[in-house]
Amino acid sequence: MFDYFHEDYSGDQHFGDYNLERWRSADTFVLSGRDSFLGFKDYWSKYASGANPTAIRLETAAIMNPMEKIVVSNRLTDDELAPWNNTRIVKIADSHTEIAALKEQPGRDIVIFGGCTLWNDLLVHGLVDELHFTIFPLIAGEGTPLFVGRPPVSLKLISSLTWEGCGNILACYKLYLNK
Amino acid sequence: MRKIIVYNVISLDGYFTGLANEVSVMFPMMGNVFDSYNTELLGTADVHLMGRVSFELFQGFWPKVAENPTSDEWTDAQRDLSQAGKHVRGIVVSDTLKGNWQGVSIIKRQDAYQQIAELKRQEGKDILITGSKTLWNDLLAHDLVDEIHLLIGNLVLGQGISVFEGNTPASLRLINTRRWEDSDNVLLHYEVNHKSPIIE
Repeated sequence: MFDYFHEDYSGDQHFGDYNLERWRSADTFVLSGRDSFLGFKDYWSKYASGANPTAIRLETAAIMNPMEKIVVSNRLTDDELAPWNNTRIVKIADSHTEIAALKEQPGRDIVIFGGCTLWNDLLVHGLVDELHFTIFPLIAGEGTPLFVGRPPVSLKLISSLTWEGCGNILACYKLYLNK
Repeated sequence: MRKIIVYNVISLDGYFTGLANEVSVMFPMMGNVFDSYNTELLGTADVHLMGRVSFELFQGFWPKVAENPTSDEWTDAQRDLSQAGKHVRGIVVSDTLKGNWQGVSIIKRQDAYQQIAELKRQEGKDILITGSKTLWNDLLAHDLVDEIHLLIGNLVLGQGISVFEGNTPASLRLINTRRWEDSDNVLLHYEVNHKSPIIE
């Protein structure tokens, strides 16, 4: 997909910048599935000791590593969590009640990053409040659709954002479940 | 050199129309903004370039507005768009379209690249393409498109026909975005880079 990425945007960090803002205002990271969890854990827990770390990602790692995490998975086991031991495994069947209970507690934002299958499921159960999409200046031509089917929701555009020297646009929507 | 400007409306999940190419699924997001921005683009154009399917769709509606502009069936934005449309000539790319319409010419598909490239070299204002996804995706693949304006709505369709066809080798630069106070749409305005593609 990045084959034709415009040269003006090569090395652009604004996507990571915005993600960092979201992590700063969150206290819980919800992940979808074992493979995704292991991928994130592997990348971020080792990030600081890797080659050429960037300031943005170092701060992201510093926030994300100690953050409370919930992973919705039927396959992940407790002995796969280290060093992300602050992670609680929730079975798929329990995900709606667990997430609903989490939302009831006082605290900061709960972030799902990626996790398309998970958030589409939570969405139709009225458990997602906002969708923040970054649209890249790229033509994929094919791929996985953003939404699973046509959820019975209405979206209200609440903000949009662009950055100098960046081809992305961020569009944020508030969600309402249709009655 | 004149620019070829593409203007399309798409759902948040990237669809251009419904699965059977029906446009009606897009109506919930096509408020006044859709028409008024179209009018704005026509202001800097003197040619309206279309594919057959979109031409027939437009023919089924816009002549009714032109014939009876004061009717309260239309919105002000539709009246303005109808008026703006009078100042551009139409060109339809089709092998099958038959008929005579004032101010409209038809070019065959096999002649399209050459004739459109020639049209771009002529003096004049911009060449606007609206709808006509099959036509402009093909022109984009042949490096004849200069700008793409996508009006993205808050509409989720779940299925439909995608706005882009295949992994088109086009490098895009975001040059503007726009929002309107009374609308949940966002306009994304891209410029197509004509230099040879870069592999990142």
